[in-house]
Amino acid sequence: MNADSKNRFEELDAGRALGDLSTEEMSEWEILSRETKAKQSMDFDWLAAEIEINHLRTVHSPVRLRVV
Amino acid sequence: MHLRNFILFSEIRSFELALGIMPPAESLGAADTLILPLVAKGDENAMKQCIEAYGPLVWSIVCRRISHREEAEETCQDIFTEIWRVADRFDSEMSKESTFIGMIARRRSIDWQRKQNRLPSLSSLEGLPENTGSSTLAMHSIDRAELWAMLQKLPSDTLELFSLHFEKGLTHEQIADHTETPLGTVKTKLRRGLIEARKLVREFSNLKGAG
Repeated sequence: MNADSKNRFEELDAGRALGDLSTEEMSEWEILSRETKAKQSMDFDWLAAEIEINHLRTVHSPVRLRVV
Repeated sequence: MHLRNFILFSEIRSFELALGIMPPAESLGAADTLILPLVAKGDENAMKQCIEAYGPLVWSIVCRRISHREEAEETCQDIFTEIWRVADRFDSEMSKESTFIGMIARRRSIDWQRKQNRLPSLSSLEGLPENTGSSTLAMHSIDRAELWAMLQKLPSDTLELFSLHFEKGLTHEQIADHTETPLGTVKTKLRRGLIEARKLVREFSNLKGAG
């Protein structure tokens, strides 16, 4: 796998953990994941969950959002 | 086991916790004791403890994304049913229990959001790592205050997007609307922010390990 594919998979995998993959990106993720299977991990899933839990008690939303 | 019989998420207290009326520290208070290994053995009392300890955490995560109360309750039922089913995959060497449960709650509630937008569930992805312990990050060894300090190294606009996504539970489309930023930019910044956060955690872990 070349560096471009690796970087692209990393970006898509982050998108997967964030829940924002489009249908086309899901297909692309599946193709690239077959090439990188040995290197797959749950890193982004763990991290996203940790950040979300962290935000349960520490972060306040921007002022302009509170108005919405 | 019929979880529906004793999960009472409609209780006023839980709802107040989710709405932030009660102190958030209390909503997370009972976390990080080792209950899941007992749940994995089929211990129903442990499952009740699990719901008692982590119910407020799950409810808070779900309510960020699902405003319809009945749907939120239904999703919570699904989350605890999944926890009952996959508790044996929890590895205390890899993460805290609350992280494991939070991850499941996030996935389920994000999939609910995607369903509303007619997008396929991400859990349907072929090749999704089933082993929840397959991580290069040792999240169990990182204190949440340390993680918070690490995140402060990210650019301020990334932190703002993190807040909208992780704290408010907004979809990326909603974030784009609220910030008047193109959707593609929002997606790219959030993804790169998460990649950068992983890099920071790795560096921190290496330093901690070396120390």
